[in-house]
Amino acid sequence: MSKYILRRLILIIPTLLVMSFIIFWMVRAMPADIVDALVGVDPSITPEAKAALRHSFGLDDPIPVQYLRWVTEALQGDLGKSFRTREPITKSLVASLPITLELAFLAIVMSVIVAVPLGVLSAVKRNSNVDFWARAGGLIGLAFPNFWLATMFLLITSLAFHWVPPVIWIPPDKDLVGNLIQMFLPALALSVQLMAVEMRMARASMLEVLRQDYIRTARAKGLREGVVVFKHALKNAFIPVITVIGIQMGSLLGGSVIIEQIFGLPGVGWFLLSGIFGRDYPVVQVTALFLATVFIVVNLLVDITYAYLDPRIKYS
Amino acid sequence: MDNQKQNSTLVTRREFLRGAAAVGGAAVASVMLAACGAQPTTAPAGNTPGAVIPGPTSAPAVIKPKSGGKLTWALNNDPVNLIPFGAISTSNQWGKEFMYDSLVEWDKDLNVKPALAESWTTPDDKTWVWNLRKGVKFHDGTEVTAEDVKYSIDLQRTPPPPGIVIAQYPAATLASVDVVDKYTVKFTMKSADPTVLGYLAWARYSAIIPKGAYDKMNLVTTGIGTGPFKLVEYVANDRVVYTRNKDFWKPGLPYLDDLVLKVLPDENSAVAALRSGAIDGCRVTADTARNLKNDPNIVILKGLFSAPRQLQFTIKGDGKPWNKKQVRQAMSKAINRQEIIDKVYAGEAVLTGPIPPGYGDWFIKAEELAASFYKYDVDGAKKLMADAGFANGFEITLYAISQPVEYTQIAEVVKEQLKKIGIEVKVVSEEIGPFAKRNGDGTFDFCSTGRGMRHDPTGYINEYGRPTTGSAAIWFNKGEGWKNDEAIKLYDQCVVELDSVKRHQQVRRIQEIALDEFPHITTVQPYGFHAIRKTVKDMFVDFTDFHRGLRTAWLDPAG
Repeated sequence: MSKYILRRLILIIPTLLVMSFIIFWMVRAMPADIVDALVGVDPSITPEAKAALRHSFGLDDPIPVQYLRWVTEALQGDLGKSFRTREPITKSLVASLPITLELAFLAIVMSVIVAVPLGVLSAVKRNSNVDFWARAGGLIGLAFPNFWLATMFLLITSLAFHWVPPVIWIPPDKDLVGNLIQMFLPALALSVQLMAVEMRMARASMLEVLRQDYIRTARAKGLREGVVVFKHALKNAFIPVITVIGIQMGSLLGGSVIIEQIFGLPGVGWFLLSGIFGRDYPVVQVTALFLATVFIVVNLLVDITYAYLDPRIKYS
Repeated sequence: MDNQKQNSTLVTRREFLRGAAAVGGAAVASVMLAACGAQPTTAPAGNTPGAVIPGPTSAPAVIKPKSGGKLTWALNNDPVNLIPFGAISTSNQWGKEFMYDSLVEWDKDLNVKPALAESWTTPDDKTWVWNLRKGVKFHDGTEVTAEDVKYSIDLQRTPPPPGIVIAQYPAATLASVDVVDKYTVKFTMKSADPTVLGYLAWARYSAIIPKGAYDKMNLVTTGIGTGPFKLVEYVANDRVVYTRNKDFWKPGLPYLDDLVLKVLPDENSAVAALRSGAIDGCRVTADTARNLKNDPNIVILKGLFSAPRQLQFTIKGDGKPWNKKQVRQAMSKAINRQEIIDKVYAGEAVLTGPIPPGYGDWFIKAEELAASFYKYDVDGAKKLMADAGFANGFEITLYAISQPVEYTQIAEVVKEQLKKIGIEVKVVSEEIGPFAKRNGDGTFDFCSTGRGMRHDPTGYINEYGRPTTGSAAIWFNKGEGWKNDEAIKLYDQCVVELDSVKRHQQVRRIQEIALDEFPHITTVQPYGFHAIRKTVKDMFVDFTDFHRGLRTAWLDPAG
């Protein structure tokens, strides 16, 4: 197992190298660069001044030269500075990361708390009213885009209760309750789709497991239904749900881009988005690469969790 | 006081007029009084706002302003950085404007007023002598002296990165900045330059910072100035937090204890936050302003700001139809600007020529534009097209900025209108970055764009007077495609003309030429809207597109 993990960890390096090349090339393939984005349509900035600005960013060098410079600096631990703010990117990432991670974590927790019991109940009481409403709710949850939900939440709470979450980010270490109150709506908006997916997955896999012979055996030997469901069935039914959570982690980070913007939370998603709009290449490169790393690590963690949940799975 | 005395007693007719050459509506009486350190009591002479100019955008306070409280204002764009010099995004100024002052400032109506300089004299056409206000302190407690002014003005000419050299700055005409004594600074110009006051008053590029500040701190994210608020923190993409500068040089100001600028790009979110009181004000679109009108806790402010919309051509002498003047005239005649106002802005816009309405007394009034320059006449347009040999029309691609969506909406309206004279317009909507690149590179035939604020009227007519330099050289193929010798001659004169009357005539004539030849088709100027909580008093929609009202705004908890 540890060999397997080590191999997977080592594999991260070439993956990231390839990713870095693709990302580097892709951000430069976007039409317009930082200078165009900064200057806009201001004819008082002369072409010479624009060229000077481009030179100051090193954008007048050939792309392979720029790439090598970036990789060399990155290997020396310098991930670079934002074109726009001239601040070290690591500093901004460290500041914005906790917000996005907390958002994703809360969204997952909320989705699991609601989706898994509902999915199990829906499977156990198949074709009952509970099942019908849970499935209908799941479909509706899937159909609502999270940015729409987020906007609706704000609209409803502001009109009905004259309340919206505070607009300035409250770090949890300063005021945990205030932080959780602030993060509740954004996390809920982010979690609804995930909830729906998990609920459907939990229901389907629970149904699958409940049909297995060992469940019949468990029931035959006179175990109570609760024990059958929660001790014998749930652990197995949980594996596909974990996979879904792992896969959805990517869309959670992606979804947080919009949610962060709507709720004014200065997280990684917004950082990346403003980097893209501003053609701030170093910011996009480093943030995208960072998110790719998170994605890879989460996948690895999911695989390891499988082995824990299902002793039959052995990695070698 | 000696300086003031000298100033007020030695004003000759020439100086009087020179003063009036100040900028953006800085008119005779106000500048003269301003130079004396007094406040004008009447509306500036010569500043003759047309009917298009709205009255005060918020009701004047009848009760005495109260001090204290925290005001949170939502910005729809990140300031990106707080650099004092050479920043090129308007939102940069939104982030830093409360921290800095310049030698002079504009009042709400763009009359030049003394700021860090309490008075100034111009002993000859090429010399400006600034008498600094004594006892003004930077936020770190040190006094502002002539050395700081010299340091700042010198650096503004070659702003350190990420600053960029701004072509409009009078750097080309400024020969030297000299310290005369601790409180006196002298500018020596290479040639007469009537744009100096406007440059300083606009304050966008002309902040005064402590000598050596660039070596002592990272001015990208921090800053020290003399402004009404001291910077507490700047978090990129999130917020700028200010606190009251107790030593501000205007006694009693500012009223607010704290000012927080929160970046909220999504208008729906900002409005929700406003309704709930999480923020106290924000910019809104005309549609949102209408929706909020009936909310008892919210007040809508309306006002003009410098954002004239225009349709630009590239005229390269390559035989394309719009190289012919008649075709451009025909297109202008076929464009019903009132329909743009009604359909795109729901009536909340006015006609504009090259210089937008509200820019002092430099613009051509809407009534005159409608009567003389923008007559909607499809038959006349068809005739012009036939005369030019394009009776059957032609095809043209019109690029438009995608966000804000109004540029594309204008393009769509124009597309339908030009169909009537046989011109098939294909509208292509582009994100601002690629659009800006296309605009700068001149890789377009026709595009729907706009202009921002300028420190001097010449900033709005630059491309007509200088078709062989900068972006205009690209659009007009270094003058090979389009140029007008009279406009060039007049422009050369008006950038050195200190006589206000003559200068007004020159600027007016260049606008007339632009409105006859239509190298670009100017269209409309939308109104700007702010939505504020009713507790916020004395805020206004700033013509400069900044938020100067927040410098003097105050909170009335009773609403």
